[in-house]
Amino acid sequence: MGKKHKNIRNVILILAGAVIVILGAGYKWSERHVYYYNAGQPHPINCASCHVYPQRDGFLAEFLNEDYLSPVNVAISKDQKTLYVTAQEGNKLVVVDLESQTVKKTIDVGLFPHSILLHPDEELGYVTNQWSNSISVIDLINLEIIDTLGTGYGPSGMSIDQEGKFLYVTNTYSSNLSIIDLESGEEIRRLNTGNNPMGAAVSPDGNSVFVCSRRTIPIPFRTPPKTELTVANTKTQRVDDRKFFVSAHIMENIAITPSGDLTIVTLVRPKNLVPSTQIERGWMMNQGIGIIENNNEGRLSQFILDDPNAYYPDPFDIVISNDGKRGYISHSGVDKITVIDIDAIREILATASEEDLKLFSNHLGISDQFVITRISTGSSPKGMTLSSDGSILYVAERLEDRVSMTDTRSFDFIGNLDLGGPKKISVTRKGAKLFTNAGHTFQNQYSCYSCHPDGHEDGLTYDLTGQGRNLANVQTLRDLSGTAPFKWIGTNVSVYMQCGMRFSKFVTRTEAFAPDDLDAVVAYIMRDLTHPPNPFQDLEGELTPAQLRGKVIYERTTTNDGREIPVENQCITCHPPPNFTNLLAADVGTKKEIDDYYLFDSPNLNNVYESAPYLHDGSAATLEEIWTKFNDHDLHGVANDMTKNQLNDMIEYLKSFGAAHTYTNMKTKEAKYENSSEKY
Amino acid sequence: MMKKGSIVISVAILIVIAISLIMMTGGRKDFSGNILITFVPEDVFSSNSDPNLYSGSQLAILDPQDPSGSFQILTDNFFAAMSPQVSYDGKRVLFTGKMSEEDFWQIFEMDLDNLKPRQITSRDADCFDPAYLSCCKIVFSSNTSLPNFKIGAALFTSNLDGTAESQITHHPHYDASSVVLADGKILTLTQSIYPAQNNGYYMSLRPDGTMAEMFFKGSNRYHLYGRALETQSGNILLIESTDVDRKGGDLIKISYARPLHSKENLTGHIKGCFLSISEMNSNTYYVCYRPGANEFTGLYSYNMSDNSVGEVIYSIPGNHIIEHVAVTVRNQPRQLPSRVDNSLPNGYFLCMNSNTSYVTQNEGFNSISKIRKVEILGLEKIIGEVEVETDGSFYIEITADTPVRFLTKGEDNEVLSGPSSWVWVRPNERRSCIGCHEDRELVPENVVPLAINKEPVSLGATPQQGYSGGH
Repeated sequence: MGKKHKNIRNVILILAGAVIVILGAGYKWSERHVYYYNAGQPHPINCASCHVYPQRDGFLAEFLNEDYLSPVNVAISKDQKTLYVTAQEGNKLVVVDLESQTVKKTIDVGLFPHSILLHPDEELGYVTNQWSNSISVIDLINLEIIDTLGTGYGPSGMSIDQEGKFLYVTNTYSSNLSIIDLESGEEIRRLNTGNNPMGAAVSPDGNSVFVCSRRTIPIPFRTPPKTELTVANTKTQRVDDRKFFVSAHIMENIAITPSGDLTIVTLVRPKNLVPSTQIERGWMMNQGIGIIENNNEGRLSQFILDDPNAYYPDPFDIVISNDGKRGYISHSGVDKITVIDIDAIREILATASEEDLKLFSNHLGISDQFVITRISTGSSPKGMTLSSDGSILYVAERLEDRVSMTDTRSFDFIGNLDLGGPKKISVTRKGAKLFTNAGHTFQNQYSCYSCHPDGHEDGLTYDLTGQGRNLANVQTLRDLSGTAPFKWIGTNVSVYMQCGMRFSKFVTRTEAFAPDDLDAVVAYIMRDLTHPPNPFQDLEGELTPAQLRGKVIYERTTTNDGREIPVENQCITCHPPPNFTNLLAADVGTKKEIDDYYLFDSPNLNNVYESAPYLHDGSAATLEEIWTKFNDHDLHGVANDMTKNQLNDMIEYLKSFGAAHTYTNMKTKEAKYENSSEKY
Repeated sequence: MMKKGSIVISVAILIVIAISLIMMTGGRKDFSGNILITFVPEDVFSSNSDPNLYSGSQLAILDPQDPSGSFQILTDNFFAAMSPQVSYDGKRVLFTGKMSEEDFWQIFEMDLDNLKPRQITSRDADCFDPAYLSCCKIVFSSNTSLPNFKIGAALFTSNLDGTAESQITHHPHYDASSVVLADGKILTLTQSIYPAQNNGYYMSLRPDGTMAEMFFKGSNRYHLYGRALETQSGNILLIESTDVDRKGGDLIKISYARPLHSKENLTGHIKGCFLSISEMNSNTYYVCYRPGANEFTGLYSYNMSDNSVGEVIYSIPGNHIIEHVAVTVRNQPRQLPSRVDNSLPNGYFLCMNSNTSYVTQNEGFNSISKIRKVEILGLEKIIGEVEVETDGSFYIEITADTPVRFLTKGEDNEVLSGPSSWVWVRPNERRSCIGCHEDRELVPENVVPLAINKEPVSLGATPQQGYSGGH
């Protein structure tokens, strides 16, 4: 062999050897890398799992993902010829011709539309745009937007009086009810409601409007949640009554029987105070309905919809037949509709004592007395409506981009109305389905959504160890990208670890996600879950005077009497933008006797205004209590020298913390305030 | 010449390919859609007192479409073999058998591809009623010794190669006739042996022996018999009889969703009795059925739509077909995670409110007289006593894998109720209840039990450091 050929051979051998070494070593490194981030659980080496699917921006994200419609609520015209569907992620109102069963038109509305309501004369329709804080007024003849009405923050549910004069709109993010004069289009009154209101319904006699809420009101530590159902008087336009369903929350929607005798809400009954020693027999969560007997002094009762070995999580909507005898409840956690016999409920209520009602609220056998059947649906059934004769039930299947139709006489499936969304199921869409479906929990008792509604948190603290120790305040899953580690003690280095084998051992109590499913769930969490607009945040970066004063306090380096505040004890050190966490654990003096740890991971504070209660164990009911009750030694920032006004202002500033992405362009705006002379 | 040569070569190649295929497949027969049966001679059936073990029993397989032509005994070199269970891929069979009369019954597995059995267990006690768990493990029953020279049977799990054997039930009961439900839990027929015998009930528990609880119980005059069957539609079918010696009974249906209160007798109107039922698919069922007391038990089809017995598929003169199972592919049950830690000696028991009791269905929810103390009783001694909190709760640490019962006492140390049924906790298991004899369909009130705010009261437990887990 000539020298030249030998050299070429040697170069090839060296290169081949280098490739083998690199690939071999690289493969070993990859194995260790995957092992570390998956807490030692088997997972194929697939770079795309962590580094591609969760991407929000860029060419690959565009290529791999789709723009889904995600229908959430429906309304039907009186002539039964047209169905109107709010497409939440598509920011559209989809108009379906029911005769041809095709989409007639899609109308671009505001951001994250929630509900559609038709005016009694059906010339106009109203769409709440939850992220635009507005209502789109739709000309139903020409199918176009003709006006936009202002509301409070996060408008969602709506109801209208029979004359069509006033529109009642729940503002989920500002926890109030807008009363809009439809003649002028102006909001004439805003009433405080419960926390995070959603559904609204005007009584058949027109005298009252009922508003159900999702989150508990502030409650003493380690006491059952209490969620408000607000009753407002439509004549005086004032709140007449505030009723509380105890040990219940996530009241998504509300319906009233045509005779007005019963008001029924969907609700969840969490067992957050019970040590989580088991999941069997409903020990973690139950779901049901709350009832107000309007003809019996407004007596409250709760009935479980679950069976002893089968659960129906995340009840969303309830519709009642025109004769008031049947109700339909959608369960987005198990893709089912429960059909209930309301007459059977009336019979139970007629003879039930208070003690009986207490038993029924905790009895898994009660559903057998009034549940007629369960109807299977596609993924994530949400809003529903009935045809005028009650024979067809229309169900918005949020993660199928369609509306299903069921014959209510035979409970047979009739067909689907395709809304024209993408047909390809992306990895993140698969993840969304897994996130909202309870199939990965023992006996389908709850889904990820159950404790993380809309990807947020449910405002409760759970005893997941089952020992009465190391209580865990549920944390939001929104905007998690770049905020590892996870878990209050910061031991979970990735969301894979957080949702992996330990999750199945302590939370779901059934087999863990398969690697593909875990990839999909994580991709969905990291990519799709984001904070809604913050009502206290101006997106141009302008701060109110109180927020500006609060910012000065937040970033101060000396106390009121001139003492230096150590760097490690300054607010901005542990909670800098854009996520308001430095990703490190710290001892902030909040360890309780029942805690085995004293170092807690600095939580991200985006949209902290809506994350009560606070601290690792939820012991601070409000932001204020963090410093007035749990900071005796100034370990959680130096605050004991502050005046009350200073603390109030700082809290106003904290409440203005919005989503992380809103800070990327705000740096130059902040510079405007650096030299502000506002100070105490 | 060349053409002839090409033909010869082609034929030779085809022969080689055919031989290779035959060698690869071993000339194996596909048994999917077949039925495995256990049959015993009449004299054995009549005189046998143990419904779980029949000397002289044999396993056979047949195609219900051609039963006579396909009938084949699989265990003719066994002294006795019975209790077949098919793997989820439909390719293997678990059964119990003995090679000679003196042997203990052991668990075997047979590959349906080659019909060769392989012994799995080698215990110095009878092993029987095996079932496949998910993930390459099995559960089976094996005799255990109890006080007063009584013999019980506990559940054990092991790997398919017989390693990692672990006892998972720890009470003086006879646990047998296990099946594995789609949710991953084991459903087993359990009967108290000590101190007194009862009629038995179906118990469900996780494969690590935790969360054992009643699944279904007939009324006192009924005897439950044999393995239950979970159908594809989410119902549970089982056999119940008023006559303990009847060796069979009526087919009963209960719903998985609400087993305690959904009982429906499917065959009370049919003369004769049933010994087992299998589901080939959602439309095809078979039963072991005996039309009359003096007749032989055969294999019949069963019409689920009108609850009637169909035609006889197969019968063996002079023999009773007492069990059968369909050879079909099924979904694997869920693989449930385990929190059992065998390095820890103790488990924990929490009661939310011992004063919660449900005396009878008609009387409804009832708070009984205030309980002040709870006495924990072991097999032959008192383990300890704990005072309940003002809200009725108590929280104890006890030695794991030890059967205990509870006795409640009042202000003056008088016995209020109990002893309860036997319970146990596995190592590191945290077990809870709402009250004493509570309605089993009750969920706990959403409150913090006072007892959990303190360390558990240790009753004869080995000192260990507290365990902190969590998500």
